[in-house]
Amino acid sequence: MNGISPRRAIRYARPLGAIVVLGVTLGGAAQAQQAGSARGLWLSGGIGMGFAASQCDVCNGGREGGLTANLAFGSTVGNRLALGIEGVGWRGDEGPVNLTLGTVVAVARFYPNPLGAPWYLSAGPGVLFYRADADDGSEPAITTRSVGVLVGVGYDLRVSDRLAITPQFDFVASVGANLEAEGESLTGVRHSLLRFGVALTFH
Amino acid sequence: MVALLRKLLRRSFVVLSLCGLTTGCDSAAVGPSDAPQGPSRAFGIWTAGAFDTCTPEVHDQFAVVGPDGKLYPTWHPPVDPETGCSFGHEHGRDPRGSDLRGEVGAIPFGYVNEVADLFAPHVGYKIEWENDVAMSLGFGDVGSVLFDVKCDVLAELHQGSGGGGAFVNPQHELQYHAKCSDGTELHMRILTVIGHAGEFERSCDGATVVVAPDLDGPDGGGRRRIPDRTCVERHILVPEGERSSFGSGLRESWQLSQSLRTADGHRLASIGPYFNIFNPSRYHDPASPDLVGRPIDLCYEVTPNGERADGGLCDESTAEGTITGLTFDDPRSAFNGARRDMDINSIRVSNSEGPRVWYTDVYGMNGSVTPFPGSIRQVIATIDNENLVPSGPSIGRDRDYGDQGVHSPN
Repeated sequence: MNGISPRRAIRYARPLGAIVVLGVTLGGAAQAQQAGSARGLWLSGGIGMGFAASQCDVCNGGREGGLTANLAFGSTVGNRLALGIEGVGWRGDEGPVNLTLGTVVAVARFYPNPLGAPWYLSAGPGVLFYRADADDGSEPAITTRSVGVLVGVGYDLRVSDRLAITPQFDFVASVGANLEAEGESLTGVRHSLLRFGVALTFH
Repeated sequence: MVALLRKLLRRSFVVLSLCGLTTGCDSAAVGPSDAPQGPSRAFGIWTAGAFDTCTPEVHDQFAVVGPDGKLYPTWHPPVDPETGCSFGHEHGRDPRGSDLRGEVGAIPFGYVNEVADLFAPHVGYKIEWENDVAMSLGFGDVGSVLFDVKCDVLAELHQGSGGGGAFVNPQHELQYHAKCSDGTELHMRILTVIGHAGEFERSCDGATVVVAPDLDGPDGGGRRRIPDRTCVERHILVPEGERSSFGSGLRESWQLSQSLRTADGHRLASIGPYFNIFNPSRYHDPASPDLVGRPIDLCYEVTPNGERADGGLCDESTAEGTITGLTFDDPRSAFNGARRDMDINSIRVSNSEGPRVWYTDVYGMNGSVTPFPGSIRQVIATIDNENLVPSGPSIGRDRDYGDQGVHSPN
């Protein structure tokens, strides 16, 4: 996990680029149909690429690329605010080791300009899980369970009155995490995830 | 005049390098000849053998003032760079390349022995070091992916392999320095006790070989694994058509288990390095008057059953049998104890409450925050790494210090 190699960056950049291009194309075509922010229940799910790192005094600290997925749902509160629950998962690998990071947060999406461009800021606290284990299960897993926070930004590109394609950029981080393995604990660990993705959002 | 200036410059370098910040510099000496406490018993004892071309005067230029103000021999190359003469022995890797050099300074060979009122042959002092060694914190592949700890390690052990001393003597000077990216740091000078006095472990099967059952001496952790005639007959003197296994039959492994402890027994730090020799010039032979068998003699031996040594170090020494009559101290013999490595293994520190500087007896015991008669200054990081102990790999295996006229005893 010594940073992101050029080959790995290219590997992840290609599908991510395709997703972004698709989203922008479809969304751009639908811009004319936009009307204020939606009201009521909402559901959003998507995929993307993410780059996770674990930092501590003895940690490698490099960012590892991997696939991410997210699922969120909730309800709007007025024109500017949507409240809900959001889960984000990330999976990477480094040789024979699988790396998994997930978070579930109570999220608020704030739309600063409900009558104009439908972009939003999101944030919320929750829990964060991290796990590193060997492919063959031959070694003990190293895990984390801690408080997590999510902050992000997105843009609802309306395809129809009820459907939007939502490019997203999120940052997930742990707060006060410990690594646990075989009864040993390492304090002062900081997990983080930078995530780029595209979701379908139903209002 | 030029030669004199060179000599003065070299002397100045050696002395200045002693004054490390971490291990302290209790001496204000400006040159070896100015050591306020005079020469140590380790200084000036080397004399040239039949194969050596340097004089003792040339040899004794490589000196340093120790923490006690006495003059000690220190590392030098096998060949004097100024005159080109050879000393016939080596002290391992040139410590001037170590990243710890600035803190540690030149290593005074025999400092611990001096404090302990012991004597050890000059040629036995060996240095090994490596910078930025990738350490493991455990947890297998998972740990190696998540964690990244590197250490600079520098060690001096008195590990001669040319005589029979190690058959019975478990006490050997160790000066061990490590500094790691996780905060682990240790500067230890002790008389390490490896196994038990009067006996050793047979290297090829681990059996205890008692040499001097009545010999008194301190017992320590670890073990000295040394080959004997049984190993030689099992792995080196082989039937026609078979190749000798010098690795199985002749390898020595000195396996340390050493700690620094307070007076009430608390372990402040501990290490467990292995120091291995792949081509010693001795094995234990109870049939020999001095109990020392010479591997080079095996190259010419044929047992009544027709077994003899074949290949490997014998071929290397005798040019595949074309050179006859080599003696054990001939520089052409590959059995000179100059192929070694060091398994770093674990470095534990449990000193979160400090202080950073402790004083112990020569065995690393009775640690006190204040010096006492016969104590040695130890430096230990004020951390506790017990939950994630860095452990290091083998270093030095690909190095051979045995060229340039080096020969047994070495």
